[in-house]
Amino acid sequence: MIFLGELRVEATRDNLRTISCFIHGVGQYLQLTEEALFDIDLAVEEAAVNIVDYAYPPGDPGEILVHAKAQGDAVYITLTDWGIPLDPDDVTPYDIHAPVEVRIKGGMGLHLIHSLMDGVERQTTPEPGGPNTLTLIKQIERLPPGAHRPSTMRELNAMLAVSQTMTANVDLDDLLRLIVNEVVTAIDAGGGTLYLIDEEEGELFSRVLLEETGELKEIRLKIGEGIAGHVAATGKVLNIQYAYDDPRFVRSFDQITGHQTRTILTAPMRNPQRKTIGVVQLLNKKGGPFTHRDERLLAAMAAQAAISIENTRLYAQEIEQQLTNQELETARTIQKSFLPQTIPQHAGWDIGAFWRPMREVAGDFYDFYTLPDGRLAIAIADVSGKGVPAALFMALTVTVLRFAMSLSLTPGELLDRVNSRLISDQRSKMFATVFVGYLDLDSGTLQFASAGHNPPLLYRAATDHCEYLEASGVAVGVFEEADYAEETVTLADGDILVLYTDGITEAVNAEEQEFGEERLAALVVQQSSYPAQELAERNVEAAATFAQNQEPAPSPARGSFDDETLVVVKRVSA
Amino acid sequence: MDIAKRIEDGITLFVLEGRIDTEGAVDMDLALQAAVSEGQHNMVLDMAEVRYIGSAALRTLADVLTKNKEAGGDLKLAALKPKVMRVLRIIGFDKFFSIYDTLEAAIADF
Repeated sequence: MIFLGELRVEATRDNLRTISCFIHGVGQYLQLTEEALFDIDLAVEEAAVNIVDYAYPPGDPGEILVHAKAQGDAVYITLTDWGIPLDPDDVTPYDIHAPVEVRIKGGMGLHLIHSLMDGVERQTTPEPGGPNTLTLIKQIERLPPGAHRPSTMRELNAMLAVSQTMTANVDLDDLLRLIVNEVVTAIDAGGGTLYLIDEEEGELFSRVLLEETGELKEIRLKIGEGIAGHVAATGKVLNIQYAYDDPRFVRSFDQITGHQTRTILTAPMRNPQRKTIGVVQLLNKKGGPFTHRDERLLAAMAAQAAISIENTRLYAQEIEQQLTNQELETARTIQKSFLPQTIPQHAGWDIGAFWRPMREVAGDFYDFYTLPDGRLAIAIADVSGKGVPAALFMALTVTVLRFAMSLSLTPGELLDRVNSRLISDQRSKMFATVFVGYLDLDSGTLQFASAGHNPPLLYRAATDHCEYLEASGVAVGVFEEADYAEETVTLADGDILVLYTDGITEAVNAEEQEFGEERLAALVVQQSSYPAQELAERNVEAAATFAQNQEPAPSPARGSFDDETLVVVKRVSA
Repeated sequence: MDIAKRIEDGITLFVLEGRIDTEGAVDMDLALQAAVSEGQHNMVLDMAEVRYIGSAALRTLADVLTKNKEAGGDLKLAALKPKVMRVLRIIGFDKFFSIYDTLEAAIADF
């Protein structure tokens, strides 16, 4: 399963276009044919209109969640609502033989959906407010396998065709894993390793280790060292029948794995310019030594794999440059829709927020959420990386976080859950720092936990000083076993909570000085009398001005190197 | 969605362009119903530049066709893109509407 994206919007007619933009984004990623995209776009719109018009009472729209994934040869778009479930029996069936004036009464949308999609699945919850889902399934047209290709290559070619189609989502490691799995199966070996070349270090490093004994740590070899290093240096296939008789064989690997290498077949991965970019190695052919046929097959597969790896790398590098401004604008619109559309208004509280991506899209976000017990959850997060990959991971994190917030968990339990969900849902090695606080709007008590996020500032009106809200915990998405401490503070009248991302404090001036937490704290003290929104904007501007200071002609790239997000929560006399 | 109207030899011609989705259908409905209420019942829609059509637009088309026919007129569709034509076929509207490959052919058939 490949997660493509999620969009959560208010169920209004105005948002139908946003949903369509999201679907076009999915279509672009999958390189769908114009026809397939048209069909999905239309079916999704009809399904969304039904939710807008019938699921929620007029004037009180709930939400629509649109989730997209690819699985096998099909794309799955699921629309979820939490309103009154549609009973298909209540819909006048569309009658293809009725006169035209009768046809327009109803059922047309459902008829279109069922006609255009290859599969439609509906799940409803009988009680109002339970989730109702409608999943639309559309087959993706694959490239036809080339007739001129040798039959043994068909499977790999089919695999590569698919992986290239989905390049935007397949990260390099996923692709490498696919390649190794494929060659190990095709040649019937006991295991396989794929090494890439680290040009700076003149070394090979293993990216995928497929062993009967399971996962191994990374192996690094000098080019020329060991069997893989030898193949990387010579660019020639090497077939070894007795590993222990070969002086180049590094026996210590077997000591680590605890099993014995007998036969080794190694081929260079060379790109079309005949430059070696890595090595693929198979171990212990089942039922005898590796044959000449195996050598030729592995060499051919390695060449294919090299092209695929290069394409994926280039794609990863250029994805953002290739996106047109319009697409980035669409991405940004979608991303903004993940942020709260309005700032919560509560008597006794003044809340402000500021969000500015460094590029067209950001890895930062903030969120407000009213918990089942009435407390206000406030979250801020910073996703590793920048640009489109960070934006996609941000979308995943927001979704997981919001879902967890509806489960009546404590802040620490919430982060724990988000962490495990992110680890199980993605292998892209991205992570996010998150601070989450639950604010009791009556007492001013804030219960909070942090996943490695910059400690928020708490300005105390009584002492006219700032404190830092620290709670131990590691960023989410990194370690399976993470522990998130919970702390509690109480905000008194005039106290101000300031949540921020490191784009604010790590703004750097011409002399390489950071804006820093102390400058931010001093500013908050100095400007504590401003309303929350103005305070947020003034702080961001101060960081930007600091970074541009002493620059005769500040370029937009200078100054803010990162996304900037700041949330201010101020307790005021009710 | 863009919509332009002109009248030639007593035939009201609409040139549609873009997406006639739920939002676009609102504009189209306003334009077509206004013409109906002004007694313009001989209509041709030039759909050469229509990239998308949804059920909301189809409802308007069926409603206007019915009104025009009652008044002795018609609503003819011209130059549909294949994917738009496919939607009309799925809904079975190809049997009710007079559909022409070109605008000229549609106008000539009045």
